Parts: sequence; C-alpha cells; structure tokens
Amino acid sequence: MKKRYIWWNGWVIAAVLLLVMVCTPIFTLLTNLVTSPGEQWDLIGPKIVESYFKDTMILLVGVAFFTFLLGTGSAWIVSSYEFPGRKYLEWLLILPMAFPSYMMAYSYIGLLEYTGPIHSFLRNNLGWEITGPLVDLMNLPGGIFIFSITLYPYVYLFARTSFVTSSREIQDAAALLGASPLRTFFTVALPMARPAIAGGIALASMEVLNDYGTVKYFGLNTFTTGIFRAWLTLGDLDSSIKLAAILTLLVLILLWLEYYQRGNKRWSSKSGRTVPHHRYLPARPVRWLFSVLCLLIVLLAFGLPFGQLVYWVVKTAHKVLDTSFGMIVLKSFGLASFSSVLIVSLAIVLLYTVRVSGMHGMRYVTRIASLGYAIPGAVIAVGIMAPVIGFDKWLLKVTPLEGKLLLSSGLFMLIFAYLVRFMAVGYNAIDTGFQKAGKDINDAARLLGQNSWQTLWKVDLPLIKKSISAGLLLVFVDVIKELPLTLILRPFNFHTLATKAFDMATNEQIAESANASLIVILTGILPIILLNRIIRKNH
Amino acid sequence: MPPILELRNIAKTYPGADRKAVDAISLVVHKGEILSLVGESGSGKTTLLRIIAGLEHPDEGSLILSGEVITEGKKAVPPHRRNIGMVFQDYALFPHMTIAENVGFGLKNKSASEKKSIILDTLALTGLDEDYLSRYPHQLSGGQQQRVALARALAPKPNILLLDEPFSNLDTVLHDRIREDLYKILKATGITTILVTHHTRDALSMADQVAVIHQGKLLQADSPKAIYCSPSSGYVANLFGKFSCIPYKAIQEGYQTPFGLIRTSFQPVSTQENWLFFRPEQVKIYAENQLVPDVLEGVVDSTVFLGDYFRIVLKPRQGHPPCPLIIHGDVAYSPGEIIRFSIQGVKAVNFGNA
Repeated sequence: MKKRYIWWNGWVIAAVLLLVMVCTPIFTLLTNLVTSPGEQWDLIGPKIVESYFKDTMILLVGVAFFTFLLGTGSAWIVSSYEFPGRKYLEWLLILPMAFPSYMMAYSYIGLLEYTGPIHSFLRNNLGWEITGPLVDLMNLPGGIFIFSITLYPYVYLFARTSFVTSSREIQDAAALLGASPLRTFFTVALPMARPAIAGGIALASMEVLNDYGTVKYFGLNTFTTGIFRAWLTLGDLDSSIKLAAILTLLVLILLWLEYYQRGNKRWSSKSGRTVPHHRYLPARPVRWLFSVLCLLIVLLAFGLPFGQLVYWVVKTAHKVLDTSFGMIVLKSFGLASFSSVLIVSLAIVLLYTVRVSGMHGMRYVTRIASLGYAIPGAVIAVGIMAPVIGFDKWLLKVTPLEGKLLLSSGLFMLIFAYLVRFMAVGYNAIDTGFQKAGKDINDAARLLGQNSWQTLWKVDLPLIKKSISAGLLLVFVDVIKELPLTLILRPFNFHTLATKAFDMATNEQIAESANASLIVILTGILPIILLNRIIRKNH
Repeated sequence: MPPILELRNIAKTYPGADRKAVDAISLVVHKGEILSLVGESGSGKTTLLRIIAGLEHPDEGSLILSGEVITEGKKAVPPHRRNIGMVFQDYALFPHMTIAENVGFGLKNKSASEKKSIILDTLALTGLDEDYLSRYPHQLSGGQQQRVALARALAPKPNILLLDEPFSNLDTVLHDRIREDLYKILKATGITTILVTHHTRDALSMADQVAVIHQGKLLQADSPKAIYCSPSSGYVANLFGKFSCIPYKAIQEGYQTPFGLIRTSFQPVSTQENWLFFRPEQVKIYAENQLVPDVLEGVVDSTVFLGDYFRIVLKPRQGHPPCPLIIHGDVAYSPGEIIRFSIQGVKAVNFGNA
C-alpha cells in the first residue's frame, strides 16, 4: 500500500489557486494604497472624499433606520398575528427584493412625473393644478426612500425567521408574567432577534454601497459614483483605486460592527424543543389595520412601481422588441448561465476540498472566498482591471501578439469579476447541501474503496442536487440584475438587460427601458417563490 | 503470529483544544479478536477509531496494519486503500441508493452475478432476505438499517471491522438482542473487530480485549475479566460498576479489616497497596444461625431496592473506624440489623486518592 502526504491532493491545489484568484482585487487595492499617491489625488483627494463621505453616510444611516422600521415591523405583524390575507401578504412582502433599486427609481420617477398616473388623477378628477413633479425624489431623502422600499425585505426575512423560530415558550412566559404583547415585543422578542436584524441591515447597507444606478440617476455623490467618475470620465485609475480602498475600509468597519455587536452574548435560547408556532387573533379593527398596513407596504414597494413598468411595456413594446433586443436577452441569459455554472462548480471544488482534506483550518480559509459579496461591485471592477490590464501590457511586450489584448478585451474580466462577487452565493448554497448530507456519507464511501473523485460523483453530487439547482438559480438571478460591475468591465458595445435598462433610462428613454427591467424583475421573482416554499416547508 | 493491527504512541490534538484528544496510545490487536474501546463521551475513543480508519491523521505515532506501516509522520495510506470496514454511529447509508446498491457499493472488479451473490450472502448473514434488495434505507427500521450498514461494511471482506457506538440508536429492548446477534455474526465471520462503546456491559460481554480510555489516555487494556476484577485505577473500577474499598492491616494470618479478619496465604508485596478492593457480587451473606469460621460482621446502614437485587450499605460495628461497604442481597434488611458475611478473592490495590 502506498502512503501519501496527508495534505497532498489535487483538490487542495485547485482550491488554493481559486482562493488566490478571488483575492486578487483586494491585493491590488492594498498594494496601491501603500504606494505613493498620484499628484491628482493629492490635489483633489481630501476634498472629494469629504463630500462622498457625507452623502454615503447619510444614505447608510437613513436606509438602516427605515429598513429596520419596515422590515422588523412587518415581520412582527405577520409572525405574531392572524389577520385577513396574512398568508399571501407574508410572501408578497418579499417581492420588492426582485426589484433592483435603480429600476425602482425609474418607476417612481414615472409614477410621480407630470404625465404620470398620480398627477393625472389629481388633475383630472380633483381639479388640482400642480406644476412640476408631485414630490421631488431626485435628492438624498428620495434615495433613502427608494433603497428602503427595495431593501427592507432583507431585514424582513431575517427578522421573520427569528421571530418564528425563537422559542415561543419564552414569549409565552413573558405573557404569563403579565407583559402585554407590545411589552413582550420590546423586551423579549426584539432583543432576541437583534443579531438577525443586524445581519439584515448589514446586507442592506452593503447593497447601498454597491449601488450605482440609483445614485447616478438621482445625482447623489457616493463613493461608487466617485469611482465611476474617476475611472470612466477622468480616466484616473489611481484615484478610483484610492476611492475603492476607502470604500472597502468602510465595508470592513461595517462587517466588524455587525460582528462586534453580537459580542460573546447569546440571544437565542438553547432549548431544542420547538413548540408549534401559533399566532394571536387580535380584535377585528386591529386585524384589518394590519392587513391594510401590510398591503400598503406591498403596494408602495411593489404593486405601484410594477404596474408602472407594465404600463410602459404595453406602450413601448412594439418599438423596443426587435431582434437586437432579443440578442441582448440571449446574451444576458447566456452570460448568466455560464457564470452560474462556473461559480457553482468552483464552489463545489472549494467546499469538497474542505470535506476531504484532513486539515481543520481549511474551512476558515475557504470562507475568504465568500467575502466578495460584501465588496461593492465598483471596487471589484477596479481591483481586477488594474492587474489584468497590466498583465496584457506585459504580454504585449514579451510576445509577438501585435496589438491584441488577450484578457482585457473579451468577457474574461467580467466573468472573473462575477466570480469574485457572487462566489458567496454559490458557496452558501453548496455549503448548506454538504452540511445536510453529513460527512459520514463521504467517509463511508471512501472506506468502501472509492477515491475522492468517485465519491464526489457517486455519492456527494447526487445528494446535493437540490442545493446545486438553488445555487445555480440564485447566482443566475444575481448576474442578470448586476449593474456596476457590468458597466465598467463589459466589452465595448456589449449590453446585458441591466446595462440596457440603465442606458435607456439615462438617455431619457425611461418608458422604453421598462422592457428590459420587466424581464429582469420577473426572473428575480423565481427564486423568491422558491425561497418562500423552502421557508414554509421548514416551519 | 504478528498482530494484525498495531498502534504505536498515537497522539492527536485538535486545533484550539486545551488537551490532547488522543494521548500516546499504544495497542495491539490480534487476528480474529474483538477489541472494545470504552470511555465516556469526549474521551477520544471515536477519534482513535477514525485515526485507524484513516479519516483523521494523528500528530504523532504510527499505525501498522498486517505488518505494513500505513500511517507515520505526515504520510498515510488514504482510507480508500486500507480495506477497513466501518459501521457509523448513524449508519451513513446512502439515501439515494437501494439496499442492494448500498451493500454492493464497495465491491470492485466483480461480475454482476458475483456481485449479486455476495450481496445476497452478506445480507443473509446479517439476517435480511431478498425482499430488501430494492428498498431504500428510509423504508427500513433502525435495526434493519444497522444490519444493512453492517452488511455493506462486511461485503468487501475487510481486514478489520470498525463499529462506532453500534447500539446507541436502539432502544433497550432491541439493544440486548442486537448485541447477541452481532456477536454471533462477528464470531461466524471470524473478522477482527474494533468496537467503540460507552456501555460497559457491551464491552464486557462481547470483547476479547477491553481498552479503557479516559481524557485521551489509555488507562488499561486487558481481558474483560481482569478489567472487572482487577482494575488498575479507581476510574476503571468505578466505570464498570459499584465496588468497595476497605482499609486493612497485614498480619500473620491475613488481612485485618474493620469488619473482621480475612484469612489469606498471600501477603501484599508493597505497602503502597493500602486498600482491599472487591465487587458487591464477591460478598457472600450467611444466615444468622449458620456456623462459619472467620465470619465478618457489619451493621446495615441503608437498603435500596434495584429490581433484581438489593444494594445494602454496611458499616462496621461500633468501636471500629467508620467505613461503608456495598453488598448485594436478596432481602430487604432494616437499618441496625447485623449481617454476617465473607468476601471471596479480595485484591489489595492502590488507587491513589480514589
């Protein structure tokens, strides 16, 4: 029998290569931070950072507050009370997640403009004469509104899960001790859900930092718009890297805050017993009040803007839907399919390495790969562009490939960037699958004489089929929705549905842009239906 | 004959743990022998089993299987080349495969008909018939699943069979029956078996050799009889049941104890062994009028009914140093009654502070 080094197998090499790749953008930014600043940066740096910082912070704090209010409030209502339509509202409340913020922004501008439905209604039916838009959304409060209604579902989902799964007995105990439902909420349920809610708010904040479409459309100055301006308008890669690095720092602080607030306290009770979740039936007027409240949120955050999009599509479809638009749909779906297959396959490689390698640290090392989700798209784009372009220039010098850019001209950089940013999505899906399947199954197969490759094919993959499809779908939708990365890294004249919608909207073709938006949103609804079904099955 | 498996100084520490999970364990297993690793949960016995299987790698020490070094330093034969069978605690049956596919999974380079006959033979050996072949694991009861897991491990004719807590998922009624069946199967195949359990009764009744592990260390490896009657430490003594220790003085005729004189021809060699050890079953109670030379006497302190016997705590008569003693009887005695008894085969021991 031949002995081998215990840490030596093909999986480990593949995993290490993959990790190095995924970490490339961060390395780029870090090395650039250390090198001396450019002259331009010295001149304008402090000034622009100050203004970007202000807008970014106001947006973050505002969105955090309102997503907390909307998300936690609606989650508490649907998980604690029985009221008319609760079953449907419970999942309708998640729907805004399918709406990318920038598409929400376009819809709202349409809803509120002079020729929009609200204006027309007031003018024609009530005889009000208002000039200009009804409410001006193109400012910071407007941005906070748009982000809050698209991102509250993150908080809602986390809080709802926490409310439903946290020990009902503890809340019952509070009630028996004489606490009113309201007091129980503030003194027992809310503190217990705190880590979950904070996690949801952290995710929402990262989406705000990642966004480009909305802030650009509303003319807000955030770090992401700054990076775009520096790179695309001024061609100043150095400044954009500096801005990206500062933004990364901001994200790291956010992550640390989220981690720190948990401290070493435990909010969950360890009792493994699950008492069937039951809901209170409030008095009739309260019941209807809850229904109306939830319906109002759904209408504002999904119904109205979605209706506006559908109206636009009906009006403009004949102008927009042609072969070139069909090509964009095909390209978009093709790119998303390829990326999701690639990302999920690589996530399997990474996690299977953890499974078969004898090293205990491996699990923590591979976590690094999922960090990309926290890093804004613009930052990843800048962090990838610099080394890839550098590599191409070097290649031009040493090889006779005249004038041909090998990596930076095609889709390579874009797919690479998707890999960095969406690895976490595939990683988490596959991780859940492996955890559910358990490690013993794999050990058993190997003790029965199958090597790690055979075991993967015969035992592990068939068992995590569901997780693989879930991962594929989630990555697919994320790629379809993605805007900032695609804008920076796409080849010349290459369009996805997201960039097309953005392009049309910024070029005063907002009604026409709805066609692309609608396809993106409808694709995004798919995993929500799936997700809801899984959550429902678990409870 | 050389041993089939030898463990030399095996040690392993998990990252972040404050003590070794397995601490310098050396053991020898002979062909056809059943070795039982006994210890509380967290003692390191399962880790040791996984090291033997090749699923974990030790930090120190080496493993020798049939005269070949299979684990040493940073190198090891991977698990799929060791030909070691294992039955997992939760069976780890492949849920997406039928019973036939599960049992046939480890059979390589065999024709379909050969495979089929091996699958049938092995299933028959474990007490399952043809009807089960096309069923899926979730359609079987816990006991049946365990039989399939055993058949799957036995089918490739492994050098060694490892059993991880084979009885932990079974209720008490099934427990004893499955243990007897398992014992018959193991002895019928003559396979070398290493069995991890925390039930001392299983270890004593099945094993040829019992190894007691505590906090990663091997405390004692011996025959079941020796483990039970001559434990090397208070921990081992306590793990395998109630016992009593009484002080004594060695005199010409034997051991002088608070309950009387125990005559013996043997004398303790070392003054270190300052206690007399015995199990409740070694105590024989006499009727009041029975004439016995050198009878011991004690006063009943309390009696507890335990189903098939009474546990009686005895104290010496007044005027002697206090020292409780546990015996088994078949009648309830009331406190204050005097019992006459003798002890067969006491052993002078030194358990330290136990």
